[in-house]
Amino acid sequence: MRSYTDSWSPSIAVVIWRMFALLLLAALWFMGDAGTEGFVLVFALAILAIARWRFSLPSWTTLVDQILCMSIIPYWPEAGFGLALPLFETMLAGKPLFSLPILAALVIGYVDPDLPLLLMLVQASFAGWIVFCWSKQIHQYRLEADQERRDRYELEILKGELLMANVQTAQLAELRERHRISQKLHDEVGHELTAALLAFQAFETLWRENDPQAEDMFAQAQMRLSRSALELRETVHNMQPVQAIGIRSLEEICRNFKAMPVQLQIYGDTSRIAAHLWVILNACLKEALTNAVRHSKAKHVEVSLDVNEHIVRLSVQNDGVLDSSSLPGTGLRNLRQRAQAAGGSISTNTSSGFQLVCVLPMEKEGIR
Amino acid sequence: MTIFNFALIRSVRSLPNLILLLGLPAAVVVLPVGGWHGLPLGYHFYEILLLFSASKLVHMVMEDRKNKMMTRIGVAPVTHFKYLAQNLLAFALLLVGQSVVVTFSAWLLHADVFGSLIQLFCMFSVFSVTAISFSLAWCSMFRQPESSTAVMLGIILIMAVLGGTFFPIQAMPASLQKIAMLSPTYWFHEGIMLAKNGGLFAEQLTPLGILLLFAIAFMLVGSRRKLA
Repeated sequence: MRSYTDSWSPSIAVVIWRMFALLLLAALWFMGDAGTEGFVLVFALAILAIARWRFSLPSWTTLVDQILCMSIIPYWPEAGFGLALPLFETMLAGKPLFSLPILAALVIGYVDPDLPLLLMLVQASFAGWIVFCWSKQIHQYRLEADQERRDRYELEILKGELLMANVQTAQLAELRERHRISQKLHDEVGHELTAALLAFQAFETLWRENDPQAEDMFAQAQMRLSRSALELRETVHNMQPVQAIGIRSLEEICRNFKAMPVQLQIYGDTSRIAAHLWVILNACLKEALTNAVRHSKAKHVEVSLDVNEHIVRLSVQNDGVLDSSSLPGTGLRNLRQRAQAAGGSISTNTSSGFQLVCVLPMEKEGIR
Repeated sequence: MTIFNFALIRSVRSLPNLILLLGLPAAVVVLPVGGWHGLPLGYHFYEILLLFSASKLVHMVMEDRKNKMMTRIGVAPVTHFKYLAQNLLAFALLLVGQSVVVTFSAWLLHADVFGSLIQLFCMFSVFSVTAISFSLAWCSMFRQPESSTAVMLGIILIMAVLGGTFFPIQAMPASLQKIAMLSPTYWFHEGIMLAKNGGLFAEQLTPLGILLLFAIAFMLVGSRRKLA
């Protein structure tokens, strides 16, 4: 349903003003003693007004109106009121210079400049000027709105590209990490293990020949093996991330949340979840827990993570009472945008306590 | 000119149209002279027949709109202007042709009544165009052809009464005489009275010009493209 302000536009105001002016002129003709000339003038002006309503006529056509009025004035003096129409049109088009003949006619006294006529002309030019400014403003607003819409589209495209880049970076980081691990294993553990293997082979030969050096070789091989075991332990230890990732980050958030007891339940294989989805899930959980403390006087929070082949679903439910005055904040809005960008959605349910559900697709195609 | 040809053929294909275009004019021309105007009765009331015929013809455009023909025209390589212009040209040709026949009959049957047959023919043909554009403007205000026909009959009668078809304009009050100028029928009667008197053609220019103005005004209102 269109509201009143939507339907009220400069074009409607223009139509109303033209009708008002034509009706006034028609009334003057009806009350006065003019005959056919007056009728022809009113009719011709009406036709020009209808033509302007149907098509956008160039500004010089107002000269036709003026010539018509001027030529009828000798037969019907009140035809001067008809000059209000071309005056209005020239002001409406923002080209007041086309009204110079009217001014000239008033100055040389061809049109009798009495007060009602002057008032009518001033009113016409003022009305035309106001509608002109109004439509110019609307045009400018429209341009601005278009520009903003274009900017928003560009931003959305950029956002999609950034998210795509995010995924690619995660993949690249994973590959690099794999490469680093293989290099580390090869350089540090691999060499020692190979040396130990060679030492054991040498020991075997020496031992078969009952060589006294065999014992020496055995000790050497054992030392290398134990050193490589140490290297392996160190490498693994060094590679262990300091910051928890994946499901452990979720667990850590729940563990570190001291305001109320949090119960975390996990169903399905969480190793399938991509790194960029974990970021969103972590953010969701943090937001939901923060909201539980800030807005609802909750006693208990239940978090459940379901993973299947197609989607991952995180639900955070608290048993608090929702503050009715609170509106969805920026945190939730940002989260929703991020989830949408990853092809998922975020919904809330307030029927009992407050529940936030985040559903994300598993496939990479979900990312737009 | 495919649309023009089709419009012509379509106009004469139905029996009611044929009666309106050929049968009734034959009855019009044989009616005797009578009444306060001193004109053959048929010629005096001829404008009502023209308005009816025009409305009947223009209703075919309205049927097109109802049958979604306009939507098909919209996607065809034909502009709306072309479609409308060729249709209206066909209708105008039919009515002007009828006017030729009626004027010719006036020369045969009522040669003593009319002073100038050329003026009479000009009046008839210009009024035909006005009647067509009036019907077009009228139809553009309605969605259903049936409702537009029903109201149109009343409007034509009101226009006829106002324009002085049933009683002389001079019998009406002065203010009504001015309002009567708003009806094209007023100028029609003005025109045929001038044709009867057979004065200068220049005198005929006022009613002819005003009828043309009416035609332009109605055309501007009626030619808006409406799909449904």
